[in-house]
Amino acid sequence: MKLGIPRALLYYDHAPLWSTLLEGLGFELVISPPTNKAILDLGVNRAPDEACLPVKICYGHLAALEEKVDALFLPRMVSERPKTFFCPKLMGLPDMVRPELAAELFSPLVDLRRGKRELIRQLSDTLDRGQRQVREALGFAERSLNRFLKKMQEEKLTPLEALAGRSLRRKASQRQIGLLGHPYLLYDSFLNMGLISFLEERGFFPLTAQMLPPQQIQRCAEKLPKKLFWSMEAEIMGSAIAFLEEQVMGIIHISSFACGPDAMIGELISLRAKQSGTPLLELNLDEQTGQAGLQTRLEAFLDMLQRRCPA
Amino acid sequence: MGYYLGLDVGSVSTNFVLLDKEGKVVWDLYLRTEGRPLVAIEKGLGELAKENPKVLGAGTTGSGRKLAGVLIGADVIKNEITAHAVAALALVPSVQTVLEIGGQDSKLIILRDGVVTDFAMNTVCAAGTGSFLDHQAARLGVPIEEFGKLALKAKEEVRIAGRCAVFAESDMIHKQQMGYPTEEIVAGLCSALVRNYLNNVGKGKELLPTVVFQGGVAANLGMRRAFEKALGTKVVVPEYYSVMGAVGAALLAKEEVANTGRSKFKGMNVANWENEAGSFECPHCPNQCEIVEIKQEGKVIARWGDRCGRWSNVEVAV
Repeated sequence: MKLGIPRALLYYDHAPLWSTLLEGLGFELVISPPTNKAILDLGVNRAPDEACLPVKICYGHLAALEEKVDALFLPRMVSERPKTFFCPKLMGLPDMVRPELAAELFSPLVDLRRGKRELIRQLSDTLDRGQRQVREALGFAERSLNRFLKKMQEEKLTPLEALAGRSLRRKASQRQIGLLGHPYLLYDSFLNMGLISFLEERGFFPLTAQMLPPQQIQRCAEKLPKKLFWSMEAEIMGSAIAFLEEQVMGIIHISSFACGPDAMIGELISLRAKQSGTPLLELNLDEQTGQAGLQTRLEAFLDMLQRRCPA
Repeated sequence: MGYYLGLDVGSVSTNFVLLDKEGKVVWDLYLRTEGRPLVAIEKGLGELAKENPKVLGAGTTGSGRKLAGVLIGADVIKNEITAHAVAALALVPSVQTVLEIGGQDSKLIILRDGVVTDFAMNTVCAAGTGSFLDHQAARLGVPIEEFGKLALKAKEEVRIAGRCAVFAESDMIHKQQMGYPTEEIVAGLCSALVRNYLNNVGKGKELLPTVVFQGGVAANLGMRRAFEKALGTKVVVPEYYSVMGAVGAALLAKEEVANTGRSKFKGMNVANWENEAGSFECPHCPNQCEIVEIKQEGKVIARWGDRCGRWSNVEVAV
């Protein structure tokens, strides 16, 4: 059976987990191509107007796959840690997209507050495989996810580089820029108009949350007076504080227009950056494909960093 | 005697300046872009050719900086923020805050000890920028040059909603129908735009004197006064406020040429050359990038707009 996985949203966080699990259970996988204009157009046409851009793009990826597969795989992401949640749009996503799709949708509930046994039961039900078989495949999948996460941290790689099996250990040079934001914004080079290569071409090393030890991020996130219950935002906030610890030259925070949780932590981040005197650039992404606005701000930011501390 | 040329190709205006070796403005030109940057650049070059200066280096800035840069062979192609900061610093060395309002965007630049430490630009919305003031002046039947002076005549101010240009306009129409005098409405509009700028662009930033106000909108006396009132400090408008981007570009060109030793400027005969800009959609992938192609004297000198570099990396005749 051919199963389609959209290269969108949490793909950049969990890719090896789901691909190892599903392949282990005997599915043939089709992963949608990197985001392109056709996928964006498909998504914008299908998604409800008030959805954020990453959700619209996910619609586009699902649409690009639906004719090529027997079913689509899109888990319902509710919680991965106690007392934390994913964004409500992710929780409701399977219900939002289902009526629009020509192919069947497999969306097991991922709510780890209920424990792993419940997850195994969910996977077993939606994928129609025995629980024992799922448990075994999940064990492999988790190890593969951990190797992926560790590789990114140890070799300072982006998810795409780690997935492609690249193992160039990049030198964390003096000129580090902390790159903050959801992985689906940071690593989708169509969406962010090639941000990472833009920085690299100009001699800056983009440091991201995925390249930091999770213990450090968690310890930093706990410095907040109140714990954030959005798990993705807690990670972004924790890495913002960790970047300040690492004394990056500057921080770039990418968010997408109409992202509720990001709007709130945006303020928290700018307060912290201001206290430590670290320059912060906030960039807001939406459907525009004109690169001028983004480039002007980035160029000016890099000029400012360079003039503040000449190499 | 040689000069440095600066070009600022913006959405509303295209500006040229010539600086002498000391960095003093010896010639400047303010043209309306009118949506056709290529035409404006050619027109400006024509005017420049009449002066027949010896150009030692050239820099471009503004949203049309890339286009202008390849046409004339610029030594530096810089973003507007850096250009404006450099110019303000050169003309008003004590500057700590630059307010810049242009045709389509507004910027705020914070400097400390002669270095940019922070900046902000308006987001996608162009509310409160020059083109909106232009539009409102035309609607009220007041020439834009008189608009600011009119605001100064007002004894009272009418409260106008400044958050959004569309709301501001309907608010103004409403206040007009109620019978408020035009000058009070105009003064109210200036205050609304300043309030909006300070809330939106300036949010959370510390605006310390010396405050320099530049960009086309700095001509507007009403806006100057509204800023002074809101900030409680004197606002300095430099003599060449409308062409500060171009001044910055020229200064950066001077710096660049001092480093490289030679200029890439194509010479004054560029004024006589035929330029042509065309575009096409690349058929090679689903991104369907719109490629812009610039020709000079029939030869392709630059292409851009592609995400993959297929077109812009192609060796082109210079």
